[in-house]
Amino acid sequence: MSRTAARLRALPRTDKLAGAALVFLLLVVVVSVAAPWLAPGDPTAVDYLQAALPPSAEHWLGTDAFGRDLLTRVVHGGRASLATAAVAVALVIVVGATVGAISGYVGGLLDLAVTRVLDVLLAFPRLVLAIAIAALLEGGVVGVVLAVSVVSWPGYARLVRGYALQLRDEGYVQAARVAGTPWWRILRTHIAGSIAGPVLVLAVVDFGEVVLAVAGLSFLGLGVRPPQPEWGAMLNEARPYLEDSPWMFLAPGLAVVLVVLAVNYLGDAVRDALEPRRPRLPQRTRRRGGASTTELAAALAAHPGPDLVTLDRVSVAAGEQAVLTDVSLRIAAGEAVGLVGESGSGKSTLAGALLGLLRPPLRITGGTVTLYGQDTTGWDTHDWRLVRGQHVGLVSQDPLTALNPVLTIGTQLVETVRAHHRVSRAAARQRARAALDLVRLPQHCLDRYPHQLSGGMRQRVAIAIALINEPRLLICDEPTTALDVTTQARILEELTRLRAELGVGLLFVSHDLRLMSQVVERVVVLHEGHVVEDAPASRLFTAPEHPYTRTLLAAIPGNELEVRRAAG
Amino acid sequence: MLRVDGLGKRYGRTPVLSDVAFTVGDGEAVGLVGSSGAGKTTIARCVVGQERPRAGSITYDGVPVGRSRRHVQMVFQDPRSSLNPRWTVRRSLREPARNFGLPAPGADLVTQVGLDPALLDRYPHELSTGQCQRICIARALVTGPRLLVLDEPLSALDLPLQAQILDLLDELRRERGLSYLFVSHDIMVVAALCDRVVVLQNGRVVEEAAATDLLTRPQHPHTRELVADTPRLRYA
Amino acid sequence: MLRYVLVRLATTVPVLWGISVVVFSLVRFIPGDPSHAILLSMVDPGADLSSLEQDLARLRADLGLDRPYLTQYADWLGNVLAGNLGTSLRSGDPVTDELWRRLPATLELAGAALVVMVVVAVPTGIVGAARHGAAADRLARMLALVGVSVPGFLLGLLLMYGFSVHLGWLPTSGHGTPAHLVLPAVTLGLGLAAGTSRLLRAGLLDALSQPYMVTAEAKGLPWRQMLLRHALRNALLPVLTNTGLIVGGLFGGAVIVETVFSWPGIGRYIVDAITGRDYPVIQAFVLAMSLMYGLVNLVVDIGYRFADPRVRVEGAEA
Repeated sequence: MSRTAARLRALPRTDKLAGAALVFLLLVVVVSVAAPWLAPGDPTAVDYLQAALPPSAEHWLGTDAFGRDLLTRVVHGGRASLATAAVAVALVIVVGATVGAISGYVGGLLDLAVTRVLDVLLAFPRLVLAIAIAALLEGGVVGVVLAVSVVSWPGYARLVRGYALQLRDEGYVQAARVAGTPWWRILRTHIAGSIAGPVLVLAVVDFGEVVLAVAGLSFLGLGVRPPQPEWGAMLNEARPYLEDSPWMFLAPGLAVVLVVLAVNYLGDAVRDALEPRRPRLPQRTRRRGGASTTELAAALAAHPGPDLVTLDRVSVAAGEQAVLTDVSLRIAAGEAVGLVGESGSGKSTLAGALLGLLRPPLRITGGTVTLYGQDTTGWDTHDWRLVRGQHVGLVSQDPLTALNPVLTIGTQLVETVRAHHRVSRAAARQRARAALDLVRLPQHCLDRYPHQLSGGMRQRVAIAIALINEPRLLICDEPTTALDVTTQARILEELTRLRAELGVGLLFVSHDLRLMSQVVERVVVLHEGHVVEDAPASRLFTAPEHPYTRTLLAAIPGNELEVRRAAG
Repeated sequence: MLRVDGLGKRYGRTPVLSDVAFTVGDGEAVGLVGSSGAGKTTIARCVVGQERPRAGSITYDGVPVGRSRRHVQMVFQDPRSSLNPRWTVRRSLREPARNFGLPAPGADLVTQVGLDPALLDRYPHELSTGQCQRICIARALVTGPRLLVLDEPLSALDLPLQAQILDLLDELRRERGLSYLFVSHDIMVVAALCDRVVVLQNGRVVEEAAATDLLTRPQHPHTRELVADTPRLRYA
Repeated sequence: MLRYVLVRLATTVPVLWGISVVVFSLVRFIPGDPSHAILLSMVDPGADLSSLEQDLARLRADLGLDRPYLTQYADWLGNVLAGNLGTSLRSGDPVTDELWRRLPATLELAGAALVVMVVVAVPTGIVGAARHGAAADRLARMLALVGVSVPGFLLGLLLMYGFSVHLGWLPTSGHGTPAHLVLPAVTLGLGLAAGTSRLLRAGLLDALSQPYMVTAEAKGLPWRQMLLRHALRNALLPVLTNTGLIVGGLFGGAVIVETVFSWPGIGRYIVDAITGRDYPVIQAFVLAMSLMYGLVNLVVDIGYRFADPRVRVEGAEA
């Protein structure tokens, strides 16, 4: 079963409230369709003897000023409200999605013309234009449907056009073009299939809004004409009796709110199910005993010991699944250690665990992480902050996304200093300049934004941020994966030089032994969450013990060519 | 045989290709190497007719490409995104066959790229990245092409997987007499698979040589730089 | 920057032209041309229209409706550019004057509603994201969901029933004292706040999950700074993009809220015009609202260039 279908099917089980909302809506639909049989009374029959009666056994929801049974009117009114909204939404989806998809995928002059028309239609405030159209069409159901559709379809079309535009460059669509699939078939299969989910979500989310718009127009006297019942119109009729007979507006009001609430909740749930976005948030933890933060600060600063990091049989799990099992690792002061493994081996998780940066569902399930001789078990956020950026610097994989796009390089450097030292802004800026010098970037970079720099320059900035507080340990997590060979070579040279100059310890995480061999003294091989070998670089490269290490070495392209070159 | 002649292309005012010319003979594997922005991928896209060059010609056996689609197929960089996530492997493989009225490919094709035919009814998210790339290669073979354009097909993979895919490509080439145009930024990978290598810099061909010569006796300064910057095991 | 503003202004011109065409055509394409509506508004209900054929023809000539469409459009556009939006069929007064007279009341309501919106939406959005999954977040989410599900007119009636009819704290309707402003502003503001709060929460959660937040965390920044400087700056961008929609909701919502609370602004004026089939007023209303809307979107777009440096540079180079 495809993922979409599976997720939708699981929805009522995982979210009980969504299941309830769905059942409620189905019930409302059944009741509305079966209204003539379920509520056989004439919703428009006037009986002044029964006027304005409060809810009773005979009239469950009371009667209105004309003596009409409110329950009958609410049921029949729902028929009108929901049918109108459903027709409008269907019209909007068909027109909006078709126009948007074709315009976005085909592009060219057609797209240009469509976009211009959409620009104009979107330049009107929606409800204002709807009111005007409905008014000029002199109200009625058709007028309302048209009014709501005309103002809603451009929004859909624009959104779907956006999807189609993205999909046009999507890998599988390019592949389909190369495979000779004609454009109309790509539209019908790949594009239609891909936008079906988002459009469905939109339709559900928007249905509530359309019900509200229809009710709003009717409330203004533009929709279904009295005496025919409709929720918005009933609310309008109830206004003069607000003081004496509140049930008259409560009945249709509650009906609108419950239906729209159910639709909106269901819409949210469907969207979350189809586009699951599990936010991975920074964790804030409370302290669980141990030394105070001030004592810890002093201890960290005074650290005399030989080891920067000791991992003792550390295990990490994602939910129930083990990611790292019994990993032990030591980094001595000034030592450069490489951590090698394939993607999914848990090497980035290990780097994160060193700084307490694991985000749920990842968590440490066993073992101890010791930094600068201090056991980190039970550290709270304040404790970790002492270490992060001050005693340990982190350079992460992708320089394109690792820097905040809306802050200048200067700001991002300065705040790193000021998070740890009580210094003036000017003094911090002075240190920022020095840090840029250190990584050989020109001073004017301070006032630049990340997107104004090349990938290599951005990675230098990331290194400058990591080193600005002169930590004794630098963690580099795949620092060159996103860069091309030339830039990669320069960054590696830079790391080697900085290590020589500053004597900083290094943990270099990568899947590529070739890169590692240029900077590290010792290599730890990680395979499926286990450390399978831990040896000095020279021995590991020449006499690997574990079969997996041998596989890694054998996989290096051109190894035999290299040998041939050395020989000849 | 593929013949690229006087190829020129610009985006806005920036020229990305100028006067690029090379050939790929029948059964030959030619590498296209350069750093990012050198125009490698643009050439690949032009060869499979996905982009129109501003100048020059690209012909396959004398026929302009775009019309000879069936014989020129492509494998992309990111195997995961090149498979429709909502389609089973079987459906993805059937797509090119349907376009040319060929019989639907079955288990034997999947076996040829080293996979279990049981994977035919799986969705991409149920496969590993390496398996996805094998499926993509299988899909490119469905129409019975004579030239495969391989656009950085290894850069999304870890080294051990890269080696496996390289072996597969080598094997397929020998069995089927395919020719390859192999685009990569990694000169070592290219040298491992190709007979001949074309080096690009800023949209121009700066050197063309046999793979082994290029590594041992690079002529152009840029080639020398590329060779020097390519990471290799260094141990004392 | 100036260059961007000029370019943006230049692209506004064709859109404005399109708006004028749509607004003009709206009235011309309604079933039976405006002369019917005018005639109907002048004669007794139920009168026999067939006896009025001659009157109809004369009226059409007076209104210029027998002339070619393009000529009519040109005349109309000339008038609009001169600030003349026509005269009301019912009162005979210039529509422009009528709208100007009522604009302050509507702006007063809209401004107050915006304040209510910001005061409610920003804290709830931030708390929702900062305490993701906690009780406070669930409560804020539930309230926001209810907020987007309750139609403005119903909320208005409920508030009126509770605070005016039942408790007698605030006047039910009218305009004048600050007390009169409270209920309409809250009604209009709360509806918009719900959507904005949802948007801000989603934006913050998205920003907090980005790789640059890992960098910020790894630098040892305090949580407040991570949330309010790094995440919020990025989360405000989608909210800013949606300002247009919010303002559109403000204009449309004002029509309904003014009707509920008998607020003497443009909204109520237009509803009266609808009831009276006063088509020049409807037309002028749509045009005026669209121009204001366009102006707001222009300001928002320019503001966006300041908020997002990535766009700022592209714009300057364009």
